[in-house]
Amino acid sequence: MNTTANGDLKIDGSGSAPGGAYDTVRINGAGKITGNVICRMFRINGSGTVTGDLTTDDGKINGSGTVDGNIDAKKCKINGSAQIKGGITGDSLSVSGSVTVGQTVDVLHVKLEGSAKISGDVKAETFQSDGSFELNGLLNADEITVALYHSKSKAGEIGCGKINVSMATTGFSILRSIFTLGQYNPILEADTIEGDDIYLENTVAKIVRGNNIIVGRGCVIDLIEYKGNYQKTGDAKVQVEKKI
Amino acid sequence: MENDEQISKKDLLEITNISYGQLYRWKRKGLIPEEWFIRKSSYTGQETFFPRNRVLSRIEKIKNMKEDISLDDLADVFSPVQDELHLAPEDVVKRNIVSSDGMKMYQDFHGNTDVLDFNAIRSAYILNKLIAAGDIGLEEGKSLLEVLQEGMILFGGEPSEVFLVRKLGIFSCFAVSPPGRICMDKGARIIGRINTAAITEELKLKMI
Repeated sequence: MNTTANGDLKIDGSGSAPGGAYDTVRINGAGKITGNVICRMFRINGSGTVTGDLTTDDGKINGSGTVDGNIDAKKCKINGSAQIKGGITGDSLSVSGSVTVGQTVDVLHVKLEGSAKISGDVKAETFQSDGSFELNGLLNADEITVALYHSKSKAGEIGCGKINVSMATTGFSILRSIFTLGQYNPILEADTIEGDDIYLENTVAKIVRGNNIIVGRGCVIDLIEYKGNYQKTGDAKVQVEKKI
Repeated sequence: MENDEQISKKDLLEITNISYGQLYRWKRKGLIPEEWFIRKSSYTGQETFFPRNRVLSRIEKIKNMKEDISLDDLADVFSPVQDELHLAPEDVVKRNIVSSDGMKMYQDFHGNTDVLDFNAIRSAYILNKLIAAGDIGLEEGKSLLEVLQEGMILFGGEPSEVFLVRKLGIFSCFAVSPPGRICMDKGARIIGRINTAAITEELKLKMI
């Protein structure tokens, strides 16, 4: 461990350090920081743990990371896997790999590639998922784009301006579907979906309400309430359709 | 004080002519408080209801104002949290929040201070408003200020309502923290009610 005069914290190899305010925090190898950390730049290359809250302008986890508290980051990027026991706030969150969040996510722009499990609500201006997500609460975003691959995504409720749920165009092959046999289940499941412009594929929902609604292939929906245009294509199954 | 009548989300959108997207955006920005989304189960599953009067008046305000104010500024207006705002008495007068006479009266009671915090500005604002309207006299203003201050200590940031009462020309006032009901002697007349939450909103709008 080496703490330089200008307030950098660097752990090379393995070690632990106390929290505090730093300019740059870098863990190369395996490191543990006890307490809260406030810094301009935060990097984990390898594996790292923060036992308190992490506040940073620019955070990046390459490998695996655990934060026992909350993350507040202007920019937060996770390549690999991360477990956040608290919530995440900030301007942008980008995940390639997997992430678990114990509380709510309140971030302007959320981009998920891989899998995400979020226990609380999600608030965002844009929410984009390539892969799968599982969230128990409300997904509230202005613009939601979901590309479904081979496993199920789930949200308690979805409220939005615009939502587009579609089957991913790339990454699908017969070979792949054989490999994932038995688990191949590319659907989005939600209790209710409400929004202005709604386009859905492979979506299973109890209620879908909105202004303009298009339901495409693979949809199974109990009740649709629409105000403007409504269109059903492919093999979508809808029990009740109501114009409000 | 509290009106228990509720309105379903569907009816709300219909009456106010707003879309789901707008409603969810305002919820995200905190313009419509989380507590107002009341979930009930119905035969179709979950339905959301709102306290009718409060949500309708709030949406009316948002629709009237959103043209010239950003949503984030608007969120501050509706936030029950007292602003960290401090102003010098001269600035309060300069910004037409309190008239210079009103400020003088306030300072006669409270002494001269260099800065006024939000609560002090609010007290001065209420005093100024009532005296200017001729509802109360100078001496009566003093007891009103005392009640406002005591109420602030007792209720903290909670919204409260201050009642102005007159009986046989004698003035009195008291503060109530809702929900609560009052019953008064027949000779007494309520000459004014001040809802502190509404005043706070009104004042913040002037201060943006």
